Amino acid sequence: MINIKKIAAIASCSLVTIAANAAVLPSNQTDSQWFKDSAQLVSDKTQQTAPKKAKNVILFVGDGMGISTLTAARIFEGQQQINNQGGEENLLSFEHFPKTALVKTYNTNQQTPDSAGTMTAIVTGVKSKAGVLSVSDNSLRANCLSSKDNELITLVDLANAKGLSTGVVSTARITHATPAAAYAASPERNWEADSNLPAEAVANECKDIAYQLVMRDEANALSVALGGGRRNFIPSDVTDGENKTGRRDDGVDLTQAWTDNLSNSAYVWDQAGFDAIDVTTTDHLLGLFNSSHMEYEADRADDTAGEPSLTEMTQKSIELLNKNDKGYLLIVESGRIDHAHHAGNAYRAMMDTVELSNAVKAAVATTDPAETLIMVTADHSHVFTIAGYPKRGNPILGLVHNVGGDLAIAKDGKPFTTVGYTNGPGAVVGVRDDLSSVDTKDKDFMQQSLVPMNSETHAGEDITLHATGPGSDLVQGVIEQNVIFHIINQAQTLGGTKY
Amino acid sequence: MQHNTSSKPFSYTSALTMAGTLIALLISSTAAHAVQCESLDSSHLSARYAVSNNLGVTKEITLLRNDQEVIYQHSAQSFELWNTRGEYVRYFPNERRSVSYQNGDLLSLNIHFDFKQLNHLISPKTIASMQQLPSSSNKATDICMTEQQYQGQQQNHSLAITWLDKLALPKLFRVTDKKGSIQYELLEIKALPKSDFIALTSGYRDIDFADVGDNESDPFIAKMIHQGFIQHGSSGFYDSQGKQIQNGESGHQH
Repeated sequence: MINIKKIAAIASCSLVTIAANAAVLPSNQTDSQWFKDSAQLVSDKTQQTAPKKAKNVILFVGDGMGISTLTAARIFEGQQQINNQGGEENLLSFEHFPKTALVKTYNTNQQTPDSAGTMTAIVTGVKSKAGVLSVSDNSLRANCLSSKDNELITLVDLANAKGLSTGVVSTARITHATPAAAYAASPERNWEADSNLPAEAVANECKDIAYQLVMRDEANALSVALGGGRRNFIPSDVTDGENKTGRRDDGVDLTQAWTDNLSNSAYVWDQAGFDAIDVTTTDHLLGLFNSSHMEYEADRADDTAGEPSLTEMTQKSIELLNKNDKGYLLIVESGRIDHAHHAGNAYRAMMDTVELSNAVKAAVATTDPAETLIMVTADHSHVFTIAGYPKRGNPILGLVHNVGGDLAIAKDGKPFTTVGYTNGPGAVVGVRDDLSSVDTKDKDFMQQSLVPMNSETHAGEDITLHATGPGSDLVQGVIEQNVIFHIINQAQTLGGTKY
Repeated sequence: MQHNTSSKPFSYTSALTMAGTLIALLISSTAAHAVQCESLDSSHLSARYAVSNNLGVTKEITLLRNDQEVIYQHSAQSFELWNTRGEYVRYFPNERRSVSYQNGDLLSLNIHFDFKQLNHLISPKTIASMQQLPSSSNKATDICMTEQQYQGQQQNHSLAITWLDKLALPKLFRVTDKKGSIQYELLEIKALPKSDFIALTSGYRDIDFADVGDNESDPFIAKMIHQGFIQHGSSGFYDSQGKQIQNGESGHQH
């Protein structure tokens, strides 16, 4: 009876508040679409509840996808949509997710991190130093002996131990730092093939990353591994279907080992092979679609043998993993946002970010929101900036035009672009380029930067974590990057800690 | 190829765009006839050129052909390979290290190259646009050295070429504009077995350019960057039509 009174009192207060607001706020305020949309959004949030436990978890990682990249990419995508209102109003698919947190990315030895240390934090719950994969920071980088007994258990290990299916997907080499941290323990991110191992590593029996991917016990094997990096899996005297040679000096063909060692297994290397995969009869799928990194999304159509998109790889992975009634863990990396930024080429970074958004959208569409936790994050940011005072709807890759429509001119009398980099290859020592007649929206245009460096660098500010589905309530606040491991562990009851 | 060459005062690419006073040097027929024609396969050869400009600077470059790939050697410190897949590799023999640029890497750096131009030193399109002079046949008894004379204009440059049709290479190639000229003179040509070409590029520890940004702590990468050997991409100069040019001079492609 008391409770009913309380509820009635709360309801009464609520009605009074709304009535008071309606009386206080003028109609030119409450009739505004901005006002209506925002009020509805907040109202919707009051109704949101999420179950605590997730059967499945899909973790998307945009390599180098900092906050400025998200903002620019959402405008980039929005400006290509019919009837857009300028593009700024657009949201990437995962920016609709109800839960968000800011994530601190530093490594234990670097203020501005690298992908190896950051992904180690995400998949092990332990921050480590730059350059190492899923070994603690007691290890010395590139020293095999020091990594012994410092190996860390990853989310993939835990999920497999629980009987879930696991998958790792990347548009980079599947042996590259970010995807590799999910399944390999190595004191050096560059030990991707046995030919990369120094004598000390060989003497102390460290295994290369490709070897660690394939030569796992079936009980702890990945069910899906899709990406680039074929050269690290085939012998150096073997030429692949795209006329590239391997980089294995041990003579082992790991693609063959995959199909030999694992049940109902398949290896594919091109679009046709990928399309032909029947997930109902395939339990272990290895796809290596490029000798090195897969193509940028902007160039994918030009690939020699054809490559699936990140969306296609995500969909196929979900179809295959979903066969396991116990659930699955899927880690998907968009690996080349980072590379485009390093090259100072915003167009390709935008295209790959939008494609990641498409992949997330496909994942949402093909999973049950009541049982699948979907999270989207980055490993680190880049020194990518959105600057000036461009008018609403100004092309995000274009020159800055003021609200009045006139071309904005810098102090040197020359126009400038909205997006640029604090450092990188786009810097010109001496007189700044005059871009008046340059198509800065061209896909090959290199944005200007301030400090001349061969390769644009990572940035040290926070990145975001977006989440939807069971367990997503745990995504809030400003968190250390290694908390992501614990969120997944908690939501999926993986056995890594108490829950 | 369009890219930043400011760190290399006399590289192949910068030479193509440099201007100076015409230095007319005649090719040594003895050198050019280093091998007999029948032993020459135009797809597998080595051609050594002297490149001269008006400042009296002369440098040698060697073009090495192997079917769908071509190497330019222009210093003991490094040599460069291009192939028809749109890839570019820079080799550093002293360090036994190389940096590979996939096609997407080059495009992201706004670097574009014309393989046919590199394979023939002059683009076949350029040759086709030039006027063939009437007295330009049968000047040599050896069919490999049968010459054709071309001349023409491209943008603001005058081009003069003595062309060896059988080998699809110039014997003499001169570019002149109002500021001067640059000249390529064939010194020696010889057969290059495929095995020799492969041996030249074997045993290198390679890194993708896409991975350079994550490996600047690598002493080799740091050294090469410091010395300006890792390509940066666009020159940062554009003409009034928005086309990229090199070294602050009007660019053109041959």
